[in-house]
Amino acid sequence: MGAEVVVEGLTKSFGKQAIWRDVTLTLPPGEVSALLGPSGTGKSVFLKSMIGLLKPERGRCMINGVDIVTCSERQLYETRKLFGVLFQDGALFGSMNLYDNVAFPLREHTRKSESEVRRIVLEKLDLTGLNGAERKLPGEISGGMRKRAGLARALVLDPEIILVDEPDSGLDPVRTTYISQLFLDVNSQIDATFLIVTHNINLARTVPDNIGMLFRKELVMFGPREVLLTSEEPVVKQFLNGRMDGPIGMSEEKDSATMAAEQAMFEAGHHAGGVEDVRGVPPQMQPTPGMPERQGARRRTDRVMSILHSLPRAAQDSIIESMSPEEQQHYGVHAGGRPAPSQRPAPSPRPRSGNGERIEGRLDDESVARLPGSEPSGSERGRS
Amino acid sequence: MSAPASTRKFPGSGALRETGQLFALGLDVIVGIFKRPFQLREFIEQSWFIASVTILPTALVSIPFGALVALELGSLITQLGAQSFIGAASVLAIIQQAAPIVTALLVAGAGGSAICADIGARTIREEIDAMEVLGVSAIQRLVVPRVLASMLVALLLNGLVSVIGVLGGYFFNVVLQGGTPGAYLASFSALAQLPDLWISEIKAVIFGFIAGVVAAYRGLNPKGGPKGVGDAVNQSVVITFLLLFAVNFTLTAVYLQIVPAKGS
Repeated sequence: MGAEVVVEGLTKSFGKQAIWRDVTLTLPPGEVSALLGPSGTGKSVFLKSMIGLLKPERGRCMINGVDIVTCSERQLYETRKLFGVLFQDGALFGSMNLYDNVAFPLREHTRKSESEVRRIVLEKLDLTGLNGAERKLPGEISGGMRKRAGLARALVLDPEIILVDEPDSGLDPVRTTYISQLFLDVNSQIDATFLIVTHNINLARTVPDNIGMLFRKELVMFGPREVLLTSEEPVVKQFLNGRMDGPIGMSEEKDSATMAAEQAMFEAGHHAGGVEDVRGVPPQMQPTPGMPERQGARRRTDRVMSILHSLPRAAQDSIIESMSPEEQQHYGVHAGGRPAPSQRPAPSPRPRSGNGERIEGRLDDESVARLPGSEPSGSERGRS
Repeated sequence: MSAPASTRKFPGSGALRETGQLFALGLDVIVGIFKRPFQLREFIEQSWFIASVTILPTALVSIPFGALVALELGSLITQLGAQSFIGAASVLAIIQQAAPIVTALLVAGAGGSAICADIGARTIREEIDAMEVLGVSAIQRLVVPRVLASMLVALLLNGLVSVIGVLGGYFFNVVLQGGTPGAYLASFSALAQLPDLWISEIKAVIFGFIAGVVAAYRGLNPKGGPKGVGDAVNQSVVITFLLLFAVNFTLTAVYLQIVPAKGS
């Protein structure tokens, strides 16, 4: 199962310029989370801080009990082996061909025989659709192929946490969807925790389980996808619709004078951009048929149902609506209604793994993702 | 652990910080040399590469260098009537001073700039980040073999430069200035002594280390984009040269204190 990442009060600045302050979120294990935000809000910086490439000034980032911000160099290198990171351009080693690039982590960290390395590398290249390209150099292939090769390399050590920096940059919409499908398939196969940094709205609406958004040097919200997608927050609405009217401006944020001037312009008939009104929660993409069921999705349903009462009304309705009648019955909810806060649903039955060990979310309720500022009441904590 | 929030700004703090970071990288490299696994393959490749780009220019530079010493000294010493000591003087000058400096200039200029450009390009393409994220230390994997390679090549080149420089001096003195071959060779050991050769080789190794570390440091910290890499390469060569002359001065002063000149 993927590892859980707990970020608490993380603050990063370059010199005097603050990038973001007090970011607190929890990436639930095995779930796919996305981090949105206008360009220049430090999404990539956040990603790099999570893996210790940049040192935040304050806060903690706990992974398997190791605080990335303050741990020793040795622990940092050990913890990084849990990560698979897909950089924007793939960040392949230019002097090696694709095969050696993908084999690099295996050769550095494992004592596998060359034939075994070959088997794993070819398997990952096959997974990412790069059959027959293994002898090519990174300079000789297209951006999309580089990206996929970067993904193959990130997957080769079976990471517990996969960080993806803008999977859509330089890819056409179709390939972006394919690569999103690949993420979900990988997630269903190895149950890794995903964090995707993006500003692709289609991807954000259909792929992740949880969505967060950075704006004005802060984490505006982080929670189940339904919360952000049904949010009435002006900045979220503007971002999802890609329109000009709203608090996000060309450079940073707008002041009220600019906003008023623009408002007048839009009222006079100027097109504010955006094609259609993006609202509502579209169905989530699922792993390709034939793939194992996503354990993360199953855990997420339990988790979301346990915090349902603390979510905004629109999100609640949308969550309940998205459930099948059986699930609704299991959790004791029905469309248009909400469960009484005392009715704690029992976790849904989980499959057992081969050796009889229970595969179970190792996450206690206190550390699951919460909306900033909305504490679950004391009686809700702890499992019966 | 860096904590930029608590650092204070004062004039020259930037320069001090850079110096400190350069020094820290040097220490990291020294520690990294003793860490396993050693990147033998990378080390051999880099040694071969640096040697291949430096051997020819070094040889070509060292011939006129030897000749220059012979010419300059020749006219002066002939006036003093100590013509038989030309050999002694040029050997001393070449082995103790010229050879390590020429070697280091070329290792820094040809090898170091290539190292800096290579690492700089990898840095801006996020390859270094990717490597760190894969749990592999870039210092251990990339910098240590390169620094060791430039040290080895400097050591070996130093011998080559000494030989070629002395031969050049001999050729100019004997063939062009009409000096006596026997006197030139016979006076070799009049002023020069064995420790001169040692300090020469020690200097070469230290200079090779400096060239490698400075190149790697500038390569790992380019300021923004491809142009930054170009600037970094430029700076790495200039910084290395400045450091070389300072370090050379110190080493020579210390050496002359420890090992008194022959005959004194």
